[in-house]
Amino acid sequence: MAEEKDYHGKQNYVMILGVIGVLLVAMVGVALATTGSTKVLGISALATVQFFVVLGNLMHLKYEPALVKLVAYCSVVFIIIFIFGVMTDTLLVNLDSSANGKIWLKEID
Amino acid sequence: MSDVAIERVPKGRLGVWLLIAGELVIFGGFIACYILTRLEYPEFGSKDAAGHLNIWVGTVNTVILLISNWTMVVAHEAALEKNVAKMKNFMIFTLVLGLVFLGIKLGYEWPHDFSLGHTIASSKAIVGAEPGGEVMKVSLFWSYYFLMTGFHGLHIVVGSLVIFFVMLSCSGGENLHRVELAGAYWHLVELVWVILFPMFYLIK
Repeated sequence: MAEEKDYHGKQNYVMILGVIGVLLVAMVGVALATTGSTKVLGISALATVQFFVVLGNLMHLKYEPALVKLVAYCSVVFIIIFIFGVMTDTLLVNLDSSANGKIWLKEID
Repeated sequence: MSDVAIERVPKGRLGVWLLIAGELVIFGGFIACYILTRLEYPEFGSKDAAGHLNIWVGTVNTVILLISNWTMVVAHEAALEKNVAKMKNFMIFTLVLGLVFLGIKLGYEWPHDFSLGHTIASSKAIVGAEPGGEVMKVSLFWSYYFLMTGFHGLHIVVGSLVIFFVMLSCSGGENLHRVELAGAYWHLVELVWVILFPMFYLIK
């Protein structure tokens, strides 16, 4: 087993906290000031940035060995593939149908 | 990936990251299901669903969780400096903030939702509701909300227990590297909340 060691250097955690705080304020501001797709896209973009700031800096992923990065990013990539893979199945059927679940079956002409 | 690269990563660190990756996939599955349903059901944003949630209470909870993440990294830094007293103090701060987060969630938000008839099953709302109707869709929102915030809250409980036991095991100044691993798990709850908070409270 390899020895435990400090993988990362000295970080300015107050600054990192400040960045996450600013992103939070921006998110709430966008939520209150905008509507529709601007609101959804703006909040989603800010949340994504915040996600990677936490993952990289607080969880120290950017300082971890390649194997750890691979493990972490595989899960994120898997989720993205899952969302877009399933999206076509859900958005192309009518969930409001009263077909009692039969909407999940492909119709054969 | 070569055997050499695998050998260089300590087992504990790799184990914690495998756990975190697994947790991300579980939460990712929930989040994916919610997003896909939300795209189909605009009723999720109505005043009886997401519109009912208080942005400011959610924001206060987010700030509390954020500060608890900061106290945890300070505890880790103290562990690197072998300053056990400081490390223990900041781990206790982290635990207290985690409990405050849970207190607001379980002591204020959820009881308020329950009082209006919203539960994970929302049985009161479903009685007599038309299949595929608006009441049923709003009820589905609450099912998602309680499932995901409940599962997240469960992780805060587990994370608090991990921090508590790591704090006890490191009291003698040994195994201080465990503080970083416990911290990585604690940051996971922040990581998930960063997505749950805008998803439920902000996008209406």
